[in-house]
Amino acid sequence: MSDVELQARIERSVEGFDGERADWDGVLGAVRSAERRTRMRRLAILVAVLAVLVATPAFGIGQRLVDVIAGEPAPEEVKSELRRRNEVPEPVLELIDDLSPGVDADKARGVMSVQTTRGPVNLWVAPTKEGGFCAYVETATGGSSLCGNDADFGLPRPGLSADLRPLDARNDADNRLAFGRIVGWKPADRVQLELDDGRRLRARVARGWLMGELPEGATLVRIHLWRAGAVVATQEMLPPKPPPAVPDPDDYRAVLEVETLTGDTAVLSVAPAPPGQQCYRVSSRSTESATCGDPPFGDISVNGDLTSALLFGPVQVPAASLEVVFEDGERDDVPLEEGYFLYAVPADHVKRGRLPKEFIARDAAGKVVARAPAAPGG
Amino acid sequence: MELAPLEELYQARLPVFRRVAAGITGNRESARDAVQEAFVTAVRKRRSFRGDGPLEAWVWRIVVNTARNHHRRDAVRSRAEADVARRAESEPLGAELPLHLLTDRQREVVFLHYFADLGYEEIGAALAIAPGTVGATLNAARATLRRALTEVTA
Repeated sequence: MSDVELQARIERSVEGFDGERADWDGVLGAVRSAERRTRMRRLAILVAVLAVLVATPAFGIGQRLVDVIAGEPAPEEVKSELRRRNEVPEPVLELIDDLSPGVDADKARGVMSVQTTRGPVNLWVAPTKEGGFCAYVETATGGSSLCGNDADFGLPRPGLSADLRPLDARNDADNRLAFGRIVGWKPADRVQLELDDGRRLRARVARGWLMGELPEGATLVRIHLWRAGAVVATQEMLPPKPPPAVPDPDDYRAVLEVETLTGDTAVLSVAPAPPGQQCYRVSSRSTESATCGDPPFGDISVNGDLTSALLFGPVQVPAASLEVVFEDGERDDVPLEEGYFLYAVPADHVKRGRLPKEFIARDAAGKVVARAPAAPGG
Repeated sequence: MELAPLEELYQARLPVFRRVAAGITGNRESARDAVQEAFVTAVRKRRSFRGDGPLEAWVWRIVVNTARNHHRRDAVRSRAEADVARRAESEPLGAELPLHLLTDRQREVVFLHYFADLGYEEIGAALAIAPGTVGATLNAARATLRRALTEVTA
């Protein structure tokens, strides 16, 4: 077979896409949605941290837990827990561009109760200002909440007549409660939880939400939605991540320390890591964030603890100094040691128009060696 | 980096991006999704483009990676019962050639060379391999296809 003939066969193997519609506006729209979701996730993480730190110890309704009746108004304790989701410190709101979920806790309603081996678990849901929801899962020993909207859980999947997107498949403290939301929900005959050993368990479904208890030691691998005797949707669950290597707390060595705008002291510490990896931790009174693993993508990796307006992370290029440039053009030196930076954003720079905009790393001769947007994860 | 160069590239080369992506995913619909998603990634990560190589090669790298991910995701989904309908609706590719005999790397090199008209340097940049490796991979792919097609017609 000649080269020309082979080339012709290759050319014919995949037909062209000429004449099809381009959708640049769709690209830009998806970028905006993705960035909105990223901000929402950051806020959810932030508020979850606050909730764990502040709310859980005060939550004491476990002994009075009873089955909820679908549609019944939530008790005051639950409303109060949901209301806390809106309580983001003012400076933080400025820093992350008004991302409070805006939950209307007074409209919280019961969705369902599930009897588990450890007692009943209640699900309460309240709407948010942007048409989303905050769900509160109440157990005998406490509770946890998650906020979002349907658009936060992936793009529609073509070919499925229904779409099943778990909000959080293992929401319970020891990963034994499957909990999800059925998007584009229509009445389902049943929902099955498929385990790693092949067993299928039936989940409770109400008002587009699902819940079910997983047996001890079992891993959820798929969720199946049935209607009229047939599976109409299947959701693959992501395999659980292997646990990261956790250094002994005594192995950490402090390299940077700053005072935050809340008057707290934040410390960045590093620990020995396997070759090619890195381990560092940022701790303060309000948070602790430990990262171990492969170096992140990018020359300057920006992470943040927005409760105290802290920015920190590794700088992957040899840099002698690091500078932050604010939206108003002002600049400030950023503490940089051993390839890590830790920066407490000053109080007068957590306002719109004055926020941190960019980090610039320089070598000893003053030459710019890296730049990165100052937004966490940006 | 400004948005304009990315938009120009998108408007000028969209059919080619989709065609190469279709070669990788084996599915035209997935290819359209993959290219769209790749440009979303490119727009979001454009500040990380250092300008030390051609923009198109940088974008090709994102497109190829995204198409690979779609291919893997489709393979997982195809095992799920719910995908029976989707498979029936999909548009199978490659009936003209025994592409299944090629490795993933060989297929990518073939498509980038023949559909996108990229040179060895550009393909190397897109796939993060040396230009010499591109040539060797392309030769091996051609030999495999030629042998298979000759056996069929003999």
